[in-house]
Amino acid sequence: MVLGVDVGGTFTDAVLLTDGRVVTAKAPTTAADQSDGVLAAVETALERAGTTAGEVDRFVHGMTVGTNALLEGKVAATALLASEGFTDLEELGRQARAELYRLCAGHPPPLVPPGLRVGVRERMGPEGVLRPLDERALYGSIRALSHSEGVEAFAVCLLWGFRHPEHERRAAAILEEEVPDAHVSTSHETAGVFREYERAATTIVDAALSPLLRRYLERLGERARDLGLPNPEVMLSGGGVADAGTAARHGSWTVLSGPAGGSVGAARMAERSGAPDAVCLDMGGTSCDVSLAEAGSVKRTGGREVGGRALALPMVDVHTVGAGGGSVAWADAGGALRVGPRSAGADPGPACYGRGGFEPTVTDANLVLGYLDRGSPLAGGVELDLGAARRALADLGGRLELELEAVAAGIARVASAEMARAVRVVTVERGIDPRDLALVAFGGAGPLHAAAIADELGMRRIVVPRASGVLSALGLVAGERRRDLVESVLLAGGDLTEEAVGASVARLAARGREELHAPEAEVRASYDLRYAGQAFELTIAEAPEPDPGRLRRAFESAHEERYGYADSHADLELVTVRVTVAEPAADLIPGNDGAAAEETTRSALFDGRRMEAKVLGGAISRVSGPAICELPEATLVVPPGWSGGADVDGTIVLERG
Amino acid sequence: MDAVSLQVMVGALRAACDEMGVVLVRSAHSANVKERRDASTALFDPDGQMVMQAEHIPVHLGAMPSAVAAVVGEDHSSGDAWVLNDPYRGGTHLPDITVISPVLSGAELVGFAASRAHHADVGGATPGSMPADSRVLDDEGVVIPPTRLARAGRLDEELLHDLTGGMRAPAQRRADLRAQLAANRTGGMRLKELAARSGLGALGEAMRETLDYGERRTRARIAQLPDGDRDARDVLEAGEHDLPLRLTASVGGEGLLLDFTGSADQHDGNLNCPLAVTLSACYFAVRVLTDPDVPPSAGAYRPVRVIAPEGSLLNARPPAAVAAGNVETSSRVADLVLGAFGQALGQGTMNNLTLGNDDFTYYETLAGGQGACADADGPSAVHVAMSNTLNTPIEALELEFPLRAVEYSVRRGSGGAGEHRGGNGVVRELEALGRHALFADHRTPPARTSEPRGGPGERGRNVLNGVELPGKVDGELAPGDRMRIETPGGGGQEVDMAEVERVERVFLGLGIMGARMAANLCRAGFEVTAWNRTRARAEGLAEAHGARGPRHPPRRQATRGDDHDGRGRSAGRGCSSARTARRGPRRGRARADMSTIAPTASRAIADRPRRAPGRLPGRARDRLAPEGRGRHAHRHGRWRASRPSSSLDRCSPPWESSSCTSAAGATVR
Repeated sequence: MVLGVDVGGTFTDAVLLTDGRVVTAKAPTTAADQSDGVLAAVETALERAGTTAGEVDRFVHGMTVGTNALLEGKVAATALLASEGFTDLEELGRQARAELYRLCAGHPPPLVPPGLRVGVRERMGPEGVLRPLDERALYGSIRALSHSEGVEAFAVCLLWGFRHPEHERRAAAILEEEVPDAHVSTSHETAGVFREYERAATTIVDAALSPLLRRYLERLGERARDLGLPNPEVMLSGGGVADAGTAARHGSWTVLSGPAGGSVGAARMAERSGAPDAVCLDMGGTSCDVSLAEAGSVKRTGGREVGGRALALPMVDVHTVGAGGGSVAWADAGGALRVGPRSAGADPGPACYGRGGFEPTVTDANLVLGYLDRGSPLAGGVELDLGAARRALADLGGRLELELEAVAAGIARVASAEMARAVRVVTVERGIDPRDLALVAFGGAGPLHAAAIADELGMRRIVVPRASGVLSALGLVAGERRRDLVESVLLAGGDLTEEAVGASVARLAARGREELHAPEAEVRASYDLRYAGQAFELTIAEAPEPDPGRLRRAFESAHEERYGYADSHADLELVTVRVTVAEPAADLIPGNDGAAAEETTRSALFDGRRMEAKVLGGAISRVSGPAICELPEATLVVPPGWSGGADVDGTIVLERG
Repeated sequence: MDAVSLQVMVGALRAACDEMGVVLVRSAHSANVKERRDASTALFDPDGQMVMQAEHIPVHLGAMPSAVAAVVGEDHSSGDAWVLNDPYRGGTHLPDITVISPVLSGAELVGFAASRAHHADVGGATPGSMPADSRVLDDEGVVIPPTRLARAGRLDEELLHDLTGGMRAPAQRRADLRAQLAANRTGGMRLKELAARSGLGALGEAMRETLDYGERRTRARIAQLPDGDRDARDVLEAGEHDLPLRLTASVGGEGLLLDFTGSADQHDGNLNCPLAVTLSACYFAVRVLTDPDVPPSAGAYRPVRVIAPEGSLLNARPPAAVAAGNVETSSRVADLVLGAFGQALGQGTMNNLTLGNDDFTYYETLAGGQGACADADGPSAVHVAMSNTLNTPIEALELEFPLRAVEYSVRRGSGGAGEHRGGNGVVRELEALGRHALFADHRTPPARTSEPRGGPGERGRNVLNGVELPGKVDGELAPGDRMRIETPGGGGQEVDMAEVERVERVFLGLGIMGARMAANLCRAGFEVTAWNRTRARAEGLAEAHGARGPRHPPRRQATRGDDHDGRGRSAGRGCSSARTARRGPRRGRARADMSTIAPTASRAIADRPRRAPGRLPGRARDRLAPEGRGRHAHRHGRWRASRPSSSLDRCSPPWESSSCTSAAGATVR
C-alpha cells in the first residue's frame, strides 16, 4: 500500500493506493506547521480505507515548506563566503530591472544581508589558482562572524568553484571545524554550473532553506513514526523522490516539490492512456501550471527563477500564469475584458462562495454558464450561490455593455486564451507543435477549460484522469527514486573527447549511486552544448560514453529543429554534463473507486447557445458533447464536437470529432 | 469589436511577437543578442502602423515604426525582406540593424513583421562601432539604406556578403541577420494564421481596434495627470561645451505635448539623435508615467505629440554622427520627461564600456542606481531608463576575453539621500591581460536640474590604475592595467510638497475636533470642503473661514447619525457612514480616518490596525491616530500612521502644519 500526501495552498490531499483502489482525503492546509494538516489528511484516508498505518509500505510527501519560506523571505540567518571583491553577487543579480516600466519595482531583497557577506582572500581563474587561499584570514573572519547572533547556515560560492572546487572544499572544512552546528552549502556541490550569479543565488537559497527543512522533516518523521508510518520520502523539484534525510540536507532541491508531483502524475496517467507526449495543465484556485510530458516523463529544465530568485537546478519545466478559478475579471481603461492576475483566493473567494466576495471570477462565470451547479464538487464542498454570481457578473457586464451570459462566456474565453498562451510558451516557443500532443487537464478547474484551450490551439485529444482533483498527490507515488547531478566542464575543440566526457559522466554516476545506496541504478546522461560564443545551451540526451561526432550530429539536428539553422563549421562547446541516477518507481495503477453511474441533465451555454447537457456522475463509460462529467473533485466540460470514454483506469479520453 | 474578442486578439498578437523574440534571441550567435537581448520584434498593419511589439528593450519603442515607414511604400511580394540601419532612413544608430518582411496572404498585404538587433560590430573606426570621436555618420560603420535583402523567398547572398564584408566578425553578423529573418518568418506565419482563421477583413478590423484600444488606455491615464505646463532643463556634457536640453511638457485633457524647442543645435560630435531615438525616449517615459502595462503599439502613443526642431540635437540632419545619441542622449531625454513629472533622476547614462583589439570586442552597458519614486526607494544595481540588458557574467568574461575581473560589487552610499533613497550604482574593475583599445563613456548631470527634492546620486567615476579619468575615455590598456568604473547612484526623493498642495481635504462631520481642525486648516491657507449633517454648521465654517460647502453632499450615503453635538460620540462614526467607509476610497485616493479618543487608545489602534477591523471606525486600512484628545486634540498635531503608507505620508504634512485634529476624510489624488 502506498500513500501520497500533497500540501497545496488551501488543502492538503492524501491519496492511498491499495489493491487497485484509490482512497482520497482532504484536510485544510495548516500554514504554521504543515505536518498537522498532513497527519490529519493521512488519518482520514486510513480511516476511509479501513486500514492502519502499519499497512503502508511507502509514504511520499510533496510540500511547500521551502517554497513558502522563499517567497516570504522567512529563512534561516545565512552568511556568505565569496571571493574577495565579489561578495555582492546575489544583490547584483544580472542587472536587469524587475519591470521595464515600473522604475521602482524591486527584486526580492537578498537573503544574505551585507553584514553577513565575507570576502575570502583567494582567487581561481579558468585555469586554476591565481591567488592561494589565505586560511588564517578565513579563520579570523569566521570567528568574527560566529559572534553575530544566530547564523545557522553558510553558503560558500567562489569564482570558478564549479571547475576548481579545492578552495570551496577547504573553506567548508574550516567551517565544519569552527562552527560544527551550522549548515554549509558549497556552490560546486549544490549547483556545479558555469556563471557565478546563478550558482551563488542557488547556493544561498540552499543554505538558507536547509535548517528549516531539516527541522520540518525531522518533526514530520517523528510524527509519522509515532503513527506507525514508514519514514517519509520527499518529491524533489525535478520529479524524482529522495529520502527525507537527503532532502533535509539540500534545501534548494524541493522548492518546486508541489508542482513536480502534479506533473509526474499527469505524465504517467497520460502515458497509461496511450498519450505519452502531452501538455499537462494544472488549474487551481489562483494559478495555472503548465508542463510538458515527453515519452511519459516530465520535461525538465536546468534552471529557472522562483519568486524572482535564480535556481540553477534540474526542475520540472513548469510555466505558471495567474489564471485560476478565483481570478478576478475586470474591465480595463481601454474597454477590454481582462481576467486576473489578481485572485479572490480562497477567502473571500468567488462571489458564489458566499463568503463576502463580490467581484466576478472565473468560477462565477462557469456557474452562470451552467458548467458548474450549486452542488458541483469544488474543493471544500462549498455550496455555490448562483444569485451572487449573477449579481457580480451583471455589474461587470453593465460596464462592458454585454449581456450577462456574454460576460460569462467572455470571462471563460479570456481565461482559456490566457492559459492557451501559457501552453504556447512551453510548446510553440520551444519549437514543439502542440497539435501533435494530448492535453492532460487536472486540478479543480483544469477540466472545465480543457476543451476550450485545446480548440484554441488545434489540439485534438484531451485526457482527464478520474482523480484529477488530487492528481498531485497521486503523482507523488509515481516518482522514481532519483539523484540528478551536474558538472560544468567547458570542453571544446581537441579537449572534447569521448574519454574526457565519459570520465565526467562516470564520476557523477559513481557519486549518484553512492548517495542513492543503489549500485545498480540506471544512469542517464545529457549534455548542454552550444556553438562557441553562444550564451544559451541546448540539452541533448545521449549515451553515457558519447562519441563526439554523434554528439555533434544530435546537437545540430536539435539546433536545426529549434532555430531553423545549423552551422557545421562553428566550434562546438560542451558546457555542462548532466547525469541522472534512478531507480524506477512502482507502476502506478490507480484502479477505480467503484462508484455507480449516474445521469441527469442541466442547461448550459455552448458557443452562445443554451443546450440541455447530459450530466454524468460516478463511473462514466461513454460521453459525447454537450455533456458535463462530475468527477470526484473536479468537473469536466465536454462541448459539442468532443466525445470519448473512460479507459480501465477511469481516465476519460476525449477526441475532437 | 466586443470587449472579449478585443482581449483575445491583443493576446494573440502579443503571443506572436513574443514568439518572434524567442526565435531571434535563441537563434542568434552573438552574445549581444543572445545574452544581453539587445533586440526587438514587432508586427505592423499594412499601412505600417505598429500593432504590437515584444517587450525587450525600451530604446526600440519609437524606432521600429520609423523603420517600417521607410519601406512601406515599396512594392512587396511574399518572401521579400528588407534590411536597413541608416539612422536617417528608419534606423537609430548603425549597430541597430532592422530586417522587415512584408506579410502577404495570396496577393493581399496583411502587414509587416520586423526585427531589430544591436549587432556587436558594423565596421567603422573602432571595434564595436561606437567610436568616441566620430564626426560624421560614415565614421561609425557601414550605412545600409533600405535595401531588399530577399526577393520571393530567395536571400540575396551576394548582398549579404557585401554588407557584412565591411564589418568585424562577418560570419557572426550573417548568423544574427539570419536569426532576424527566422524571427520575421515566424511572425509572418502567425499573422497569416490569424488572417486564415478570422478572414482578412476581420484581421484588419482587429488591428485597427488594437490600435484604438492602446490609445484609449493611454488617454485615460493622461487624463488623470493635472493639466498644465511643466518645464525641465538639463545639460549634456560634450567636451569643452555643454549642450542644453530643454523641455516643456504640457498636459491638456487627454493629450500630452512634449516640446524640446530651445534644446541645443546638432553638434559635430556623436551625441546627436535622429528623431526616432528622441521618440523612443519620450514613449518610454510616457509609458512609465501613464500605463506601464499598455500593449506597445502606435495607438498607445497617439495621444503624445513630440516637437523637436529639425537640425537640433534631438532631431539631427544627416550626415551628423549619432553613435552616442542612442545610448546616452536618449537616457537623458527620458530623464528629462520623467523629471518634469517629479520622478527623481536615475544614473542618466548606460555606462558604455568597450574593450577590444583585432581579435575580440567586448561591449557592455553597466547598471547603476535608479532614482527614487514618490513612494519607494530606487532599486540598486539595475539598468535605468532606456536599456535593460543582462550583464556579462564574470566567468563568461574571463573565459572569452583576455580580461580578469578584480571587483564587481554594489557601490554603497552612492544613492541620493531622501525620505526615499536613490539606488546605488555598481563597481566593476577589470584588469587587462593583453593590449586593448578602451572606450568608456558615462555622463552624470553635474547637479539635478529639475526642482531638487532630495539628495543627488554620486557621480560616475572612471579610474585607471588609481588615477581618475574624465567621464568619457578613449585610449589603450597595457597588460596589467586596471580599469575601474564606478557607476552613478540615483537621486533621492523627499515628500513632494507640490503633491501635498494638490491634496483635497474633505471634512465629514464638524464636531468638537472637526470644527477646530477645519478652521485651523482654513487659516493655514488650505482649501477645505466641509460637510456636516446639520448643514448650518458647515455653512458657518464656510462663512467664518472660507471653507467650501460640500459639492456632493454625502447625505444619501449617510445612513447613520453622526451629529457631533458634543455628547461624546465618536466622530469616526461619521466617517464610517460615508460612502468611502464601505468600500474604501476610490482608486488613487486615500482616506485618513481619525477619531476623538484617548492618546493611549489611539496608539493602540494605530499599533493594531487589523486585529478587529470590523470594530474600528470605518474599517479603513490606512489610519492616522491623533496624539491628543477631544477638544484639545487640535493643539497637538502629532500623528501616528497605522502602517507605513505613502498615501498617508502625502496627506499628513498639512495636518501637522496646521496643528489640528478631527474626524476627517482626506482624499488624495
